[in-house]
Amino acid sequence: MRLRDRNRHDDRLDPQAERELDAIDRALAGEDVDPELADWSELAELLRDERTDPDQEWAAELDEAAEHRFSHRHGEESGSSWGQFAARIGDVLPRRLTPAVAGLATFAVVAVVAATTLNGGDEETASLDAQSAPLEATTTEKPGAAQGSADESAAPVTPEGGVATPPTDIGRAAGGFGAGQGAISPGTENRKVDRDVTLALTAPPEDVNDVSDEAISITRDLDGIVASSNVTTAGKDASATLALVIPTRNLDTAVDRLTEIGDVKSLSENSIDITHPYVSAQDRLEDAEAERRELLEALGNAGTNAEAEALRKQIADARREIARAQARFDKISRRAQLSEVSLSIEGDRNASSADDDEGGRTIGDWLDDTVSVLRDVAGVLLVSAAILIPAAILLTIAWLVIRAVLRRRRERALS
Amino acid sequence: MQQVATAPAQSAPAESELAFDRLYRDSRDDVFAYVAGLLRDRSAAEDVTAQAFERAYRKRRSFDPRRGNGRAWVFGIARNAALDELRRRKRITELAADPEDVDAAGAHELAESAVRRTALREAMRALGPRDRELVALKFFAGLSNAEIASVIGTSESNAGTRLHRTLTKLRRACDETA
Repeated sequence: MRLRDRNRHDDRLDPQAERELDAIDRALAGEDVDPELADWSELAELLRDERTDPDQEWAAELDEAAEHRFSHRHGEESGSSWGQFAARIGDVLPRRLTPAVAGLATFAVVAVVAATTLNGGDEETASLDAQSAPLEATTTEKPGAAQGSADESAAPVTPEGGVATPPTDIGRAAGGFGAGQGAISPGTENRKVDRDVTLALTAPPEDVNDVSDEAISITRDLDGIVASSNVTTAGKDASATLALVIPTRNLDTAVDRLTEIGDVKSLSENSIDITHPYVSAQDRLEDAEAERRELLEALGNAGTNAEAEALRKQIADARREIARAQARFDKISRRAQLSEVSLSIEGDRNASSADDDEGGRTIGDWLDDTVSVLRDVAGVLLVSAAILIPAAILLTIAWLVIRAVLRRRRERALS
Repeated sequence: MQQVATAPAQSAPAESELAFDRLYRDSRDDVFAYVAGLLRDRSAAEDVTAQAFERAYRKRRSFDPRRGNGRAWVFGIARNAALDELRRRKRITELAADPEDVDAAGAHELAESAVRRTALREAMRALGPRDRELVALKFFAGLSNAEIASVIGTSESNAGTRLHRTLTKLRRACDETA
């Protein structure tokens, strides 16, 4: 390479040298040469006579090998099975097409990987969408709920009468909608979570009533109740407000189904960890019951009427305490087991009608799908390009460097 | 020595085979002569020449006529193979020259010419591999300056300049010896 650089300076041949080289060419071609250049002519002939001709036996062997397309030598030089494979590929595939085919194969692999990655992402998004709605979906925690440290003041308990059996299925209420959104730490199935969801839908004004009925039907299907409903069907101002109470275990299903009956305008979920107040209420109830049992036992052992009377008053107090504790426990237990869904349905002429889904797809739907597919394809291409272009640049650089190094090493053999 | 420039690669595979055959026939002896001149080892030259043609056959579809004629292309392959051999051996083996049939030539050869020939051989031995390669390409393989330039990867005028320098060295060495 250095020699090449050095010689770049003499790109123009000296006229005398050109004349002498021409004389050599003429001599080699058997043509007459200027007598002044006879020395050069003689030199050319002497040098040509120094040529070594091949041995005839060897030449015959090589002719035979060439005739058989070097088949017996092919494996010898290729050596490895990879070499043989590459040689076969080279035989089958025109060399000029090899880079294109390799590029296409690489692109296909990258595209598949990218598509898989994107699909994985889409699944995650879809999962989130199903849980939190595509539009303005928000998930918030109530103040004081962080890290499961909510105290009892954050969950006011009003003493209520009645006796309830403490629930034994503690884990069941913790699952469901929002469990996978980070509001609840994973692996804490014994925790108690109070959730409520606010969902705003839009529907064509004439469909508000139907959508409202559908929401009520879904609620009943999922063992929920409609705490209140207010439906107004006054022309374009049609609207409905429903307060639904749904078992927490069915909350995710309920939200999934409710978001399908209209266009989701907003969806928010509030969650609060009530494990601590739940356990406290349970403990208080058990303590109160234990105290009452002790008092009843003491009453049976009372020796005097006065002592018995005093114990009866204490037992009455204990019974009231049990009732209060039971009320507190029932209330917090309900919060864990039941979720409130505030559903509002607003009439909107731009909202898609339920008939759209039932009556077939519109051109707009097809266009939306087309745009979506094109967007995905563009995404795949973009990701593929983001991988392939730097890889191609690196490979090209590596190839150029390797080529230059090999060339240099070969040229060094002449030094 | 042949000066036929043939292109081994054509559109149809059969034509490609025929073109390779033509190229092989036209350049076999020239390639051997060039490699032998470079390696100065007949046995190694035979191996390298066979290897070069085998590689050329495998790569026949990669030949691009726009980048040079078929002879230059096959000589480029032979050159790479020869340089690889030189690298591998890390030495330049003297060509096991066949015994000169002095008597056959000597009867008619002038004494002066014999002296010049001997002087030329001495001068050739003293040449470096790069210069010897140029001599081999020009006088043993019969390549034109343009083909030589294509094989060694330089311009035609540059190849001519280098060749002229080499020949000047040889001429001077011969004159001094004579």
